[in-house]
Amino acid sequence: MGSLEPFFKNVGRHNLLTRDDEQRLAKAMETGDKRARDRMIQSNLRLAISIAKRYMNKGCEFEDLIQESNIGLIKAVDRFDWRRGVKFSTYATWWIKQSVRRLVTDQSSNIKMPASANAFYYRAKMMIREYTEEFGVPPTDQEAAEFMGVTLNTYSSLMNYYRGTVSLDAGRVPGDPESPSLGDSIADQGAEDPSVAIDREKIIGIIREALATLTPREEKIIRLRFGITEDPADHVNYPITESEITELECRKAEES
Amino acid sequence: MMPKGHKAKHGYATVTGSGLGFREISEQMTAAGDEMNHATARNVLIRGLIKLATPLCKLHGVSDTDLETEAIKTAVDPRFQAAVGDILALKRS
Repeated sequence: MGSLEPFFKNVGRHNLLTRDDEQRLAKAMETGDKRARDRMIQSNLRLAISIAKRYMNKGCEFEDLIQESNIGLIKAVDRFDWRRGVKFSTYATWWIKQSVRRLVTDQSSNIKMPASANAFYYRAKMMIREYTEEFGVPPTDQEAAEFMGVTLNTYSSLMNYYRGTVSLDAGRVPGDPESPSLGDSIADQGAEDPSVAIDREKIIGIIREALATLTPREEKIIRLRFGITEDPADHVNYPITESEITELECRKAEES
Repeated sequence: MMPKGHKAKHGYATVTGSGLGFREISEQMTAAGDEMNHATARNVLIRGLIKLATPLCKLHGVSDTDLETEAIKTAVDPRFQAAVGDILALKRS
């Protein structure tokens, strides 16, 4: 908080605005008065800080929260329409909250969700809280989906994203990297069934043994058939049997 | 006899890549001095494959009476022939 002290001191120097002041400054802003815009922002910084403080324990740095709330405040100042007759603080609160919530949800989860999904989640949470206060029990998913105007499938999918993430290393005994973790207890769906692997090895072994029973002539033809030899005419590496060679030699001798 | 639709379902025992057809095999063998025609080349191949298929059929509990028939069925099955080709390639590498 030390780095923010000059900022807080500066914030305290600006007086709060009355409704008349707000209208006067808003009218001046419409004519392009930049000093009026600055005054409007500076006078409402306390509102931005008070909203940022509500989100302090949500996993974000306080400096970041202040920065986001100020961005929300600036958006509110630029969009404020004095003709509607509302107080600026009422209007700005929603912009500041929206800006801060976006930061909190972005940083609090490893999964980045679209802003519309975040907004849906906040609305759903609020609806569940109100429903529980009124009826004493939380709504079922089906009821909640109907209240939110979406299908049960959409509702369940969106709410599942916000259930939080768990590390696969969870459950490990501190200081003992060999101890079992959550990840160790999850089956690998893509892994081969060990019994299938054993069967395969056994079958390969049997076929290899059976290969030894082939005559060189059979082995040669099988190799030629499956294109295993680089040179199909390689009769040194893939000879025919001794008896066949003798037989062929006899046949040749007879022919000649 | 092969059941109707078997080949359409399981494919035909053809060769791909550097594998040779039976006529080419018979020509190669004849050139090497072992004169044979394409039918003999096929017969020798099937005889060799039956030798490989027989212990597998035994492993899967085929009775002695059915062993010969089942070994022939397995030997001519293109899936078995493809597997033998893979194992031979592994053995060589």
